[in-house]
Amino acid sequence: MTDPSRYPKSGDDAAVEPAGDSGDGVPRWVKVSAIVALIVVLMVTVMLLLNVGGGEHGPSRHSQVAYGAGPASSSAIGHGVQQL
Amino acid sequence: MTMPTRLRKFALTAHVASSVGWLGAVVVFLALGVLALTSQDAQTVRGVYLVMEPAAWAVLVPLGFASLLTGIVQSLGTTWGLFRHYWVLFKLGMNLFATLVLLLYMRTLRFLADIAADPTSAGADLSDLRDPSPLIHSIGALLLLLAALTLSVFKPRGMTRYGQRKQRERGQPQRAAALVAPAASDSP
Repeated sequence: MTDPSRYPKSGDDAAVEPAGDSGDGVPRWVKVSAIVALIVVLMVTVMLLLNVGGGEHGPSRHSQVAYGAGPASSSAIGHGVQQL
Repeated sequence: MTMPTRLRKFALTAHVASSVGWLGAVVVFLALGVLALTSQDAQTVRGVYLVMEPAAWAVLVPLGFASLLTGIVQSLGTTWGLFRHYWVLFKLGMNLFATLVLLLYMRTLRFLADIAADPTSAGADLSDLRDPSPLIHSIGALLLLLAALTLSVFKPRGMTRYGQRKQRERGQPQRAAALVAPAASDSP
């Protein structure tokens, strides 16, 4: 439940503007969350580019590089054709 | 534009139902991911990968879009707005990110279903069939949706510049009306 002392009459469905929330500057929780999100996005991007955890189980399984020989190579090639 | 109370309540109910439903569906996929990695029965492992793709199209994708759309309606229909408060903005970003990753991941689920359907794949060795990817993605989705849920409940303070400007614009006419009203009431 929302603390009523912080946002009086301003629940999800309220038509009332939350009061006392007009302070200038970006709150600390926003900065911390943005940094964490940036780090996560960068990590995922690096993993995609470097194919970390790679091979057939890596996040870049859909790239042509991932379609090597293996027990599932025929399915993989067929899947690759579907994407084209 | 603020929606009437009943419509707001209906929109909120739809948003909570779709979002909680999405969260529950992700938990089911997490359980399926664990089952696929731990079961010693090849048919069970194949069955898990075969059912994941159609189940995701039938449940995860519709609930993801329903959560996104009802959330947008809910924010635009109340004074919270879509771009006025950081917590609403964060939720929008998280929802868009989760939906986008889900749609991209549907290719992988199709890929896994193809392997599971191929009788020549992974004859005796289950390790060729197993894939930790659904479990990893389910854990990521669960963490993201729990973070969105936490934001919805706590609604941390913080208004964007756009929100501050809008609040000032709305505040000025109200203050002007408040100053005029006592003068008007004093007049004969």
